[in-house]
Parts: sequence; structure tokens; C-alpha cells
Amino acid sequence: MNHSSDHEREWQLQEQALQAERSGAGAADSVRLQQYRLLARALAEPMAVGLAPDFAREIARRAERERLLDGQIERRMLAISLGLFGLIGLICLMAQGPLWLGRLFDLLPALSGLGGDWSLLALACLAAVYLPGLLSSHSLRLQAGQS
Amino acid sequence: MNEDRALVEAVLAGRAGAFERLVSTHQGLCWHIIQRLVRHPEDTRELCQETFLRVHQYLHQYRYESALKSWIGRVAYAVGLRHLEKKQVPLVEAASDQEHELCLEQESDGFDLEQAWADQELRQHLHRAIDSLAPLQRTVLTLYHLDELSIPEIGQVTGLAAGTIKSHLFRSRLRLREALQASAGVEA
Repeated sequence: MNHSSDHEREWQLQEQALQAERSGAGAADSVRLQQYRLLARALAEPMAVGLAPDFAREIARRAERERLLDGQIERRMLAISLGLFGLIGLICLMAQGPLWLGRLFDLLPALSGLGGDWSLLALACLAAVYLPGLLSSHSLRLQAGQS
Repeated sequence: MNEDRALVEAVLAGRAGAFERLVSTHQGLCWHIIQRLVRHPEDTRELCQETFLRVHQYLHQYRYESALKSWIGRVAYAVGLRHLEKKQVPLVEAASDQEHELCLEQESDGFDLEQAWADQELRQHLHRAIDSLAPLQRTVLTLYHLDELSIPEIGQVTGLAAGTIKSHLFRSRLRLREALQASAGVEA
């Protein structure tokens, strides 16, 4: 006996019964086909959906609430993280601050010896702030003169 | 597909009533999948809620590669599956080939479709036989016969290959026909 061809025939019969039920075809002679049609009819019977009539509205409301709540939680978590970060920084500064300042003051004479005078440092800062602005306004004037 | 796109874009844009419309369109399919898997209405209600909350949360990840109903069905299926795993309920059961061979050889003498359909006891027997199938087989049958999903669409929902789905359909229908024949034979 060829099992695969038997199975193929049976599959075709099952599918034929499904199509016959969907199209509302008349009854056939084959008992197997009739039985598969009964089966297809039973399987296609509507299933009672046990959800409340306002299920969709309630879920939509709940989803919106959860979305808002998630946003609030995110903001609160961020605020808590930043607060903790600041607190840890403050504790570190209180504990290690004098040591860091002492080391910085120790470095100052060495920087001065390398020509790193405070006044030069201040001038360098001012140049870094104002020079780009001066250069751009100068180039704009040049472009205006050319046109 | 265009309707799906319009609806998804409306939900993502936060338009009033859009998500409610999405839920009411697909809640039937969600119920069918989960109820067929878990067979417990109270659990099904909770799992349907969970499904749609997940859909709302992850809708921005939907890429229009399949129909929206298949994507939502897949979420529902995953939620139902996880529930079964927690409860340690097997999704499939092994069926022997011997059983199929036996079934193929059986044939009764006469069968009247309309008379059988009018027989309430026979129909109840048939529904009990459907309920006795493994969760995956029940679900695949329902998606195919009731929701009229094609085999590729069922593949998108369940993640199973087309051949596996056909095999489940074939075996479970064969088994149900056997149950029907046994019941009709007893009554005759």
C-alpha cells in the first residue's frame, strides 16, 4: 500500500469538503466527504467571544494610562539618577577635595616654570571665546564687499 | 494592507479612537487563538488584555511585512504559548502512524450530512473531540476553518513551516473523522 498517495488522496478529500462547505455545494455520494463536510461545518461554527462589550475602549484607556505612567516613571528615574550622581560627587569632593586642591597648588609653580602664567591662560581663554566670532564677521564683510 | 498602514499610523500618531478601533477589529482573532490554546475563559480574558497592551507597546516595531492580523495573531500566540509553558501544558502530542492507517481503512455504509448536523448529541460529541485535541492542533484547525487564514498566514502566526501545519491539519481532521465515525456507528 502506498501511504503517501493514500495520505495525498485523503488530504484532497479534506480540502474538497472544506471548499464544498464554504461554497454551499449539494451533498455528494462519498461518505468520507460527507463526514469531512460535517467536520468542516462544526469547525467553522462561530466561537463565543467572552470579552466585555467595552473591552476595546477599556484596553485603549489602559494602554494610554500605561504610556503616560511609563513617561512619568522615566522622568522620575532620570531625576533620581541625577540626584544620586550629584550626591556621590559631593561626597567625593568633601572626602577628596583638600587632597586634589593640594595637588593642584603643587602643580602651579611647575606650570609657571613652563611659561604657563595665569595672565596668559586668561588671554588664551578670551581668544578662544571671541576669535571665532571676529573671524566670521570679517569673512561676512569680505563677502559683502565682493558682491 | 493599505488599511493596516492607515490604522497603524493613526495609532502611532496617537489619534483618538484609533487603538480602540484596532482592538475591536482584531479581538475576535485574539480570543480564538488564546482560548484554543488555554481553554480557560478567565485566563483567556487576561491574556487578551496582555496581548493588546503588548501590541500597543511594540506597534512601532511592526514593519508591514505581513498583514496586521497575522502580526497581532503572532503576539497573541506568543502570549498564549508562554502561559502554557508556565502551566507546563504540552503544546503537541505525538500521534502514531498506525492510528492513521487504521483510520484510512475504516468506512461506514451510509451517512446523511444534514441528518447528522441536526443530531445535537453527535455535534456535542464532535466538539468534545475537537476539545480533546492538543492545543496546537486545536489552534491550527480554528485558524484555518473558522478564521479562514491561509497556510502561509498560519505560518506567520505560529512560526511553523507550511509542511508542519499541513501535517497537523491532516492528522487532526483524520482523527476527528475517526471520532465522528465511531460516534455515528454507535448511534446507528
